[in-house]
Amino acid sequence: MESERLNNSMKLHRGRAGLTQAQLADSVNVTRKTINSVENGVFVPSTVLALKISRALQTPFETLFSLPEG
Amino acid sequence: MLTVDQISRGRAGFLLSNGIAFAVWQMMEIQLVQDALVESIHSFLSASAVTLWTVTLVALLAPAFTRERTTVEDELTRRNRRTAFNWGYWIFIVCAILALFAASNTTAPADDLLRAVLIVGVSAPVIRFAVMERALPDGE
Repeated sequence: MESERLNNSMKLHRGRAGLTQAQLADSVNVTRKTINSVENGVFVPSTVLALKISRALQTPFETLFSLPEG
Repeated sequence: MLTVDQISRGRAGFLLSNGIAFAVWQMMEIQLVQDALVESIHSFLSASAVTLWTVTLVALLAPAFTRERTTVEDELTRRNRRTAFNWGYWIFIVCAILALFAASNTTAPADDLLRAVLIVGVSAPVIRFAVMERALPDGE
């Protein structure tokens, strides 16, 4: 079975928002390691966390996250 | 004031020590190990392991770790725990099969074999979880 993958542009939008990983982690109530793992595609967040991140970065969900092609 | 990351890493450190201390403490109770070690070394290792296990257990129950639980226990931590304990389950099953084989074909004492299964079943997932939790993320 193929493992779950989710592309994201979090790093780009986090940079635009002027937030560090730690600041973003604080605003969505998770550890920095979780933010780092999501950004690097190591961990696929739950829908709730993905929506919280999208709200914190003031970026539409579908701009932030996308399914891999194919 | 400690950050959530520091609390998370601190907790993982105590968990790692706790898992290792438990394994050493229980290994010291195995007859084969007792026979192989000099009395003074055995006593020292046994006492140290019990002390470390107790200290780390008390530390893990300290308010610093329980107060921040909602933030430290985020979904990555829950996934890490699930992965570690799933892995531990299979290690435990393999160990139980090996113990059954050893009990059927050797004269090893049953309590030693059961203790070995206990060591693997308890310590392996705890140590794996702690290692996963301590893994440092890349920089910003």
